[in-house]
Amino acid sequence: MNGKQKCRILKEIRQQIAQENNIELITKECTHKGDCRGTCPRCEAEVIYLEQELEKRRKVQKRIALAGISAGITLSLSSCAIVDQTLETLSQRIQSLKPYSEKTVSVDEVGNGSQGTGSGGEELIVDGEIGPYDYNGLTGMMDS
Amino acid sequence: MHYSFPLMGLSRHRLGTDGQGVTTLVAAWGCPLRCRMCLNHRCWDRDVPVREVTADELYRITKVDDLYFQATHGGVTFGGGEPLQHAEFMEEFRQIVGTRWKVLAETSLNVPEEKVKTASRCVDEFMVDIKDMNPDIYRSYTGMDNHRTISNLQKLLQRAGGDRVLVRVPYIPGYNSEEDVYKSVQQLKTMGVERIDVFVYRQIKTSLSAVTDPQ
Repeated sequence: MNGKQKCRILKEIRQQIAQENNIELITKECTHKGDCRGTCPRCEAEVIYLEQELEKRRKVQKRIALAGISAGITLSLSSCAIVDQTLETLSQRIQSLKPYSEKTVSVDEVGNGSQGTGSGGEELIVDGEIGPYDYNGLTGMMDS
Repeated sequence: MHYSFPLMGLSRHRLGTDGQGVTTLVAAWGCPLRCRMCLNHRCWDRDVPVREVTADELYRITKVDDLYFQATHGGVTFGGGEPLQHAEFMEEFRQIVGTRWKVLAETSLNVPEEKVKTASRCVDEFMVDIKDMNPDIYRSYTGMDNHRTISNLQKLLQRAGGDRVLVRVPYIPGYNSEEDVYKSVQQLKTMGVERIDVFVYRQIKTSLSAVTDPQ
């Protein structure tokens, strides 16, 4: 997933939070060309604004809707985050193994991939490494 | 008593990578294993800058994404390195965040049993990198014995239940075969593992060649 895709999803989450809590959130279309980390000062400012608005509502004991309201957005990502559709899956190859032909393994048997690192039989690309912690900017430093 | 955590790196806004929802991965320095294809070999490089943080400090750092965590049932994933070496810290962190955030751990389980016991009380989901169930392959790839790993997995399944444990079985070219992967999967199922994720290591960076050459 590139930064632009991430940015779009995070924006959608912010909009949902605003909508569920009757907060007016005016988002500007991002004009940045090229990739990004998925967040920027403008995005972060929107988060702070939402936090402030929610805090105001808490103080007057207004109902806050937050827990799990955007769970559906990210649930759909779990199964497709790192799939390389062009590659033969490992479970397919396992099925072809002669010594085990009497009991072959289906994709479902090998891994349910309900969440976490993707569905069974996917190819995980060993790519990137953890970068140093950014003490000041708190920017994401690892590839996801 | 307050525990500290050797923070080597962190990554925000991970989506669908380390469990459900938006997560922040916090990486611990230090690992008992020396995996030949280690993605984060910095975790055993003594020259890597590490910041020791308290649970309170880590909470202050990560709470910037509190809204995302709560809205998506996400949270903080402890990785590394081997995060379960700091299970007491994780338990302290859990006490701070309560149940609002998910606390997850990516682990090899090759740690003292007591650490697993502590972690089972405070971690919502374990992503166990089992490598290979064959002790010879495991030793060849990690330089360590897997007896403790398997014993800990058995105990974790008893304590945490199968739904909280995802076991990842990699096909590691040069170290195990597809048959080995199949055997590992079968063995794990026999142990009662319910959630298994099979995947393939594929080397795409030449900089990794130094640690991936099995010779």
